Amino acid sequence: MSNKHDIQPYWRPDFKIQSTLPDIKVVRTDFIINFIAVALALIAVFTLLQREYRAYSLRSSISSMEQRLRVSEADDNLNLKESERFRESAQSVEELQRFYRAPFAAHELFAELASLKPEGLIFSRAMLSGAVTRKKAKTEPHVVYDINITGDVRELTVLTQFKGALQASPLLNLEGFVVLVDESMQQRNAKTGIIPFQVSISLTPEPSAAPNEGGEG
Amino acid sequence: MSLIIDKLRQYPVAVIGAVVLILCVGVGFLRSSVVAELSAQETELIARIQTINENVKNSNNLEQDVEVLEGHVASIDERLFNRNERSINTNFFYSFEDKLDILISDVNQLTVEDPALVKGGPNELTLYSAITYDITVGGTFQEILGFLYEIQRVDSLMRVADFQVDIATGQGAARRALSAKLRVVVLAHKE
Repeated sequence: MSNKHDIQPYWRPDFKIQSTLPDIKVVRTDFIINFIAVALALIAVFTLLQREYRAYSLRSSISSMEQRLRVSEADDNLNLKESERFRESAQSVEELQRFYRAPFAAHELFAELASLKPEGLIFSRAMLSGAVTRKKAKTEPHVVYDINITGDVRELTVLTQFKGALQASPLLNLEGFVVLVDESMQQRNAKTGIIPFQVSISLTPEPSAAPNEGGEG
Repeated sequence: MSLIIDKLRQYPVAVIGAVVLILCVGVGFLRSSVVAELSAQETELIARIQTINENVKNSNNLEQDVEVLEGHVASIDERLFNRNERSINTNFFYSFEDKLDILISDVNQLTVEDPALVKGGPNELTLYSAITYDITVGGTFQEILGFLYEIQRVDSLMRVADFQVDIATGQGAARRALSAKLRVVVLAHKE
């Protein structure tokens, strides 16, 4: 038995000159090399041309846009000037709004307090004051409003009724404010039966509403 | 050299293809940044045109709005107090005695401004300033209320910041008479 290792080499010399023999492969080497070279060259040319065409399109697009900009720039500058004039004027109006910023007008509050006053209750003093405070050092300042009413009453139920009316008043129930109504009484006069009282109303801006200071005056 | 010539003779098409390929790669490399630069320029121009278009849209009727607004500002400026005209300003408040049946006993122009309106205050004024007055006035409830209302609606720009209304006491005090101390803040020209 013999196997592949036992095969002997040619015993005759090979006189073929390979380079002179014709290429008998199915697809000739020349063709493959030429094909690959030409294909690569064509891809490169196509890529380059595509890029140049893109650059050309961009240039024409840029040129057209620059022309549009030149035409509209004068109008735009005019618009910007008008806008600046508007901004400056609006600042004055905003400042006027800030000047009048308060939860209510004084006459409205004074009239409201008088209208809420029940029979059997006398005012001796009504006071409105505002104070600028800050909750913390770095927070926005805001105005806290205090209303103090002092007077006399014979029946404490009347004072309770008045306090209830103040708490229910739409003028004092403002959005963006925390409203606290508190009453205190002094000793009853034994002779007259009159009880001096004080009602304090405090309006503090809610934390989220502090920068805007609530409603407009 | 002969090797190249041999190859050129053997594969002329492939060699020309290779030369074209090298040339294209070279040119492509040299001009690689052109498209990127032009694209960036185009993007920038598109953004500018978009901004201008937005400006045009936002500027619709702007000229008329500016005229109206400037009219309002002129109206505000006409109604401002001048803090140096103390006598004119003080007399302005006393003139309410002629219109309303009230007695103004004191008008005092304060040197301090309302803390809410000064620099750092919650309602800081920058274009204007505010003059503060303490006014003492006597009258009935209706008269005092009328005065508070007039202060608010008068042409000059002012509002009552604080008030304290007491029952009038003293020998000359009439029945149902009230005494009011008002702190009035008036919008004035910037110093």
